[in-house]
Amino acid sequence: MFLSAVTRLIRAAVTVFAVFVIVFVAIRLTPGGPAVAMLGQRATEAEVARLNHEMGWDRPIPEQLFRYLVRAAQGDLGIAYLSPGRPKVSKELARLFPATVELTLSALLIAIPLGLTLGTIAAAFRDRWPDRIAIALSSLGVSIPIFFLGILLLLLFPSMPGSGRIDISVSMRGIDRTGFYLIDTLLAGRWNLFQSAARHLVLPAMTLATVPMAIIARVTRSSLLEVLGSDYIRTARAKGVNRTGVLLHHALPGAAVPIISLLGLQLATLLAGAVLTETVFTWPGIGRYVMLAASQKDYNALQGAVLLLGIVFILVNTATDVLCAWFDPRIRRREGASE
Amino acid sequence: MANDSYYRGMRSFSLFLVGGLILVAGCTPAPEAMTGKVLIYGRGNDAVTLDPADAEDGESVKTITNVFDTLVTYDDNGADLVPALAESWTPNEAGTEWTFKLREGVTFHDDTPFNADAVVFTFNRLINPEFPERNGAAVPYRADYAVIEKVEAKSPYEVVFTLKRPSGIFLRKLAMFPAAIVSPGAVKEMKEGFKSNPVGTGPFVFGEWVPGERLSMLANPKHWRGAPKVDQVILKPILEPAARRRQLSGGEIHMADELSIPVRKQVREDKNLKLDTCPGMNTAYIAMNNERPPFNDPRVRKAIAHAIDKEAIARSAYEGEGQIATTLVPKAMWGHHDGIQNRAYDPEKAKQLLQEAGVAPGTKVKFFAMRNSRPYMPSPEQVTAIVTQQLKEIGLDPVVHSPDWGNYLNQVGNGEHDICLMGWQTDNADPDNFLFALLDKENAIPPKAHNLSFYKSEPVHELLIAAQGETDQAKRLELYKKAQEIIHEDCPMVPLMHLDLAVGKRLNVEGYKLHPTGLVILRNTELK
Amino acid sequence: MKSRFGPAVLWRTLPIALALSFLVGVGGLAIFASSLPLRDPYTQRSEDRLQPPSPTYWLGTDDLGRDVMSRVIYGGRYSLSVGLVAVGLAFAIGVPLGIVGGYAGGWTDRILMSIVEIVMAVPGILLALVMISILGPSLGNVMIAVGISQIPAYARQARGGTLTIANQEFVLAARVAGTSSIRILIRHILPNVLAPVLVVATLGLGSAILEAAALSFLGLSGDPNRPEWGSMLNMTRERFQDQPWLVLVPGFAITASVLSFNVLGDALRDWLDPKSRRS
Repeated sequence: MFLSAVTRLIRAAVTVFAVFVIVFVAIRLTPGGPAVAMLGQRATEAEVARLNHEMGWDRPIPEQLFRYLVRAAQGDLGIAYLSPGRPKVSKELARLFPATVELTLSALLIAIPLGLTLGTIAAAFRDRWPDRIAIALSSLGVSIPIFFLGILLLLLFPSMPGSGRIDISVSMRGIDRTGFYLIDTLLAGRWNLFQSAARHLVLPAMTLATVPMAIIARVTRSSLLEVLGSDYIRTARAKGVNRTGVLLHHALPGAAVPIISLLGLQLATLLAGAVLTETVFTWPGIGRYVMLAASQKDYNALQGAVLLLGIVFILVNTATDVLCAWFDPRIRRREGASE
Repeated sequence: MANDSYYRGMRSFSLFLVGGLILVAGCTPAPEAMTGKVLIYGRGNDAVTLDPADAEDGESVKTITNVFDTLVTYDDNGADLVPALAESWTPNEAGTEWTFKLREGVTFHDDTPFNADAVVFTFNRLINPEFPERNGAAVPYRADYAVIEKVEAKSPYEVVFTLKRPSGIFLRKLAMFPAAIVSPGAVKEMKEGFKSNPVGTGPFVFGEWVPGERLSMLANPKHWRGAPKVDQVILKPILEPAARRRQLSGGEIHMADELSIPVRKQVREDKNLKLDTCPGMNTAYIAMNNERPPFNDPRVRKAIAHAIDKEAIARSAYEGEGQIATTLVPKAMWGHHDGIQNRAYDPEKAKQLLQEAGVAPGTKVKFFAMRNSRPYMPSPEQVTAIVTQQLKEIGLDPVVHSPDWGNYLNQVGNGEHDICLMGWQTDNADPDNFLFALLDKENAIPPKAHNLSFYKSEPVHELLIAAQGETDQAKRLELYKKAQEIIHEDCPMVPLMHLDLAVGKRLNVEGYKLHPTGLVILRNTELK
Repeated sequence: MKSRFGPAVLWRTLPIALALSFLVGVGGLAIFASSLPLRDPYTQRSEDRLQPPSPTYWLGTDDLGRDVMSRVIYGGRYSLSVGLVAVGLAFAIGVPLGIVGGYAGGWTDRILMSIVEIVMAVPGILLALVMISILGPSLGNVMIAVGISQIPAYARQARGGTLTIANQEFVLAARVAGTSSIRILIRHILPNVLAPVLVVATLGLGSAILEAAALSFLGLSGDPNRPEWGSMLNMTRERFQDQPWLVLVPGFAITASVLSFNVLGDALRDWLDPKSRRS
C-alpha cells in the first residue's frame, strides 16, 4: 500500500516534469521572444542579439533548461522581465500565491458545507420537491459560466467591493507576515482591516464556490443513495437507529471518500475558476498572473508559475490519496478507484 | 421517508450558513479611511520602471514626473520652459557651453543635498554607456542626449554642459523625464533596486509599489515649490476604460485618464463627474511609402490626400474629440504652420490625379492598420473602415494587414507597407520631435525606421539640421515653417487628426490641469 | 419507476423537452440567421448606441450601436460550432487512441495512456493559455486548445469499453478466424464502444462551449468584434451596472446552451445505461 502511494507520487512528479519541459521548449520555439518586448520599439537588431546573449536565450534549449533547473533548485526562478518593476519571479509568486490560496480555501469553505447540505437534503427527499430543486440548482451551478456569475453577483450586490483584496488606500507593508490578509490583519489586531479584507473576499469566494458546490451536492446525493441501499445501513436501521441518525452518522462518513477524491480531481476546475474569478474581480492571484505571463510571453514568469502549480498538483494529489486512505482503509485494496 | 427532525436540523444548519455569509457580507461597516487626504488616480496600466534613465512608457513617466524634478521644466499652462532645479542658465556665444546656476537648499527625499555633483552624476549615467552606476537601466533615450560632450561641476551650485555642436533643442531635452535628477546616494546604495525605489527631489515622495495593484506617493512637505495639496496619491491600474469610468462614478477612484471616446461621452453625461479636455500634442497620420511604386509619384500621394474625408473621420471615429490635422506639427504646439491649407476631400480630383499618374483602377494597395487603440487614435478600426471605403471609391483596392502591435512596428519599420496608419505623441513639445523624427532621411533606414514614408528630401534635411543647431527660437520657427511648406508640397504623408487629451474627475477634485504635453502633474490637485 | 405516466414522468421529460427545443431553436436561428429579417451584426450606428431593449431593438444595442439580438443569434454560429469542432477533434483523436490502447495492451497501451495522463494533468485552461500564447489568439486555436484538453475523456471511455468487449466471445472468435486487427477494431469493437462515448460527447459539448466561452472572455479568441458569446460578454462586462442587458443576453445564451447539453447528456446516459440511473 505504501509502495503504491509512492509509485503514484513518482508518476505524478514525472507527469508534472514532462508538462514543464513541454512548456519550456514550446515557448522558445515560437517567434517573438521577450527581448524585443523588453527593449521596446527603439531597439536595434544588435541590441536584441546582445540581450538574448546576456540572458542566455541564444543558447541551445536543453542547456537553457538545465541551467534553469539548477537555479530553480536553489530557489532562483529568475526575473519577470515584462512585469511592472521587473521583480524576481519567486518574490512575485510568494506574494500572489497566498492570494489564490486564500480565495480557493474560502471558496471551499463555502462550497463544502453548502454542497453537503444540498446533497443530503436531496437524498433525504429523494424524488420530491427538495430533491428536484437541489438537482436543478446543481445542474445550473455546473452550467453557468463562472465569469457570468461573477458579473451577476456584482450586479446584485452593488455595495460590495468588486476589485482587489483590501481597501485601496490600505498599505499592508509591515503587517503582511503570511500573505493571507485575513490572518495578517487579525495578527496585527487591525479589526477594521480584517473586515475590509473579508468584505473583498465575499463575492469572489462565492463565485468560485459554485462549481465545487454543485459537484459536491451531486456526489453526496448519489453516494448517500448508494450507501442507504447497502447492507450495513439496513442492519443499522434494523437495530432501530432512526433515519436521521443513519444519514448523519453512518451514511455521510461513508460518502466522505468519493467526495474527497472528487475534490482532489476538481483542482483543475478550481484553478480554471480561479483564472476567471481573478479576472472578473481583479484579484491579484496566481491565475491572473499566469494569464498575463502567457499573453506577454514572459518566459520566467510563465515557467515559474507552471512549476509552482505543478508542485501544488502533486501535493494535492498526494494529500487526497492520504485522506482517502485515512477515511476508508478499504481503498488500499481498490487500486485506482478514485473515479 | 425523511422525518421532520432531520429536515429541521438541516434547515437550521443552512440558515446558519447563509446567515453567517450575510453577516460578513452586509453588516460590517467599510473600514475607516486612512488619515489625511488620499487622492486615488485610475490609470490604464501599471508602470514598468520608476528609474528615469530606464523608462520609456507613459505610465512609468506619470510617477517619475511627480517624484523627480528636472533642471528646467514646462510652464504649468503650456509648453514654455521655466526654471526648476536650475534657477538660471546662460549659453556662451557659440551656443556650445551652457552654465546652469542651481537652486540652493534643496534636498533629496533621502535627505542628501541636491547639488552640482548630483547633476553631473545624473547626466553621466544617461550619456555614458559604460557608467558604473547604470545598474541595468536600459537608457532608451540616450540618443536624445548624445549632443552632450561632457558635464562638469564648476562650483557646488554651478554646472557646465559642453555640447558637441550648438543645439536649439538641448534645453527642451533637459525638461524631459529621462533628465530628471536622481539621488546619487540612493542609486549607489540600491543598485538595481532603484527601479522600484526611486528617490528624487519632487513634490511627492515615493511610498509603496505593489505591482498591478497600487503605487502610492506621499506629499513632500519640504518641496521647494511648497507642499502638495493632498497627503497621499495612489495610482491604481485599471485596464479597461469602461471599468475606470464605473469606478469613477462609483466613487472608488477620484480621477481617471486614457478614456475611450464612448466613455468620455458617458463621463460628460454623468452629473457627478466632470470631463476636462485640452488639445493634445499628438498627430495621427497615414504614411505612404515613397520608395514603392506607385507612391513614388507625388501625384498618387496627393490623390490619396484628396481621397480621404477627414471630416468623416473627425465625426465618426473621433466624435468631435479631436481636431483635423493639416500638417504633422500639432496645432497645440509652437512650430505649427497655420498657413498650410488642408487638401480638401475631392474624390473626382483624386481619380483624375491617379489617371494622370497612370495608375490602373483596381490597383492593390497594401494597407497596414493597427487594431489596438493608440494615444492619438482611440478607434483605429473605424478609421481603417473609413479609409478603406474611400480608397475603394477612387478605384484602388486596399488590402488591410493588421498584425499585433509588436509585429506591426517591426513590419512597417522595415518598409513592408504601401501605406500605413501611424501617429506620434510628443516627448518634448519641440517640432524637431515630429519633423526630424518622422520625416528626416536619417530616420528612414530599415528595419527600424521611424520615417515610415521613407521620405528622403535633401532640402528638408538641411532645414531640419539647421534648426537643430539654431538657438534663437524665432529663427527656428522660420526654418520649421519652410520645411512644412516643402513637405506639404511633396505630400509624403497625410496628416489626419490631433486627439484632445481628457481626464475624468469627481466634482470634489480641484486644481488639476491637463498639461498639453500629456504630463500628469499632481502637485496642485486638491480634494475638497 | 412506479408508473409510466403521471407527474414523475412529466418531471423527468419536461427538462429534456425544454433543452431539446432550446437547442433546436438556437441552432435553427444560427443556421438560418442570414435569411432572417435581422440587422447586420457588425454594422455600427453611432446615433443608436446603448439603446435599451425596445420594439425597434428587441434586445437593445451595444456601445458601438450594434443590434444585440442579431449579434447573439449570429453568435450562436460561432459558439455552437466551436463546441462541435472541439468535441469532434477530441473524439477523432481520443477514440482511436483509446481503442488501440485497449485492444493492443502492453507497452502500446502504457505509452498511450501516459500521454493521456499528461494531458489530463494539465488543467485545461493552463493548456489553452500556453497554447494560445504560442500560437497567437484566434478562434481556431481556441477550438484546438479545448479539443486537446478533452481528448483524455474520450480516450479513457473508449479504452474502458474496448477492454470489456475485447475479451467477449465474438471478438475472440473473430480473432481465431484470422480476421485482421484493423477489421476487428472497426467492425466489432468500434460500434460497441461508440454508445457510451456518445454520452461523453453530449456532455462534452456543454463543457466545450463553456470552456471556449471562458477563453473568449479572457480575450484569447482574436477579433473582439466577432459576435461570439464569450467575446460579447468580455467587451461589455464593465457596463453591467448601466446597461445590464449587454451582459445578461450573452450570459443567458451560454448558460442555457450548456445547461441544455448537460440535461440531454444525463438523459442519454440514463437511457443507454439504466443501471447508472439513480433517481
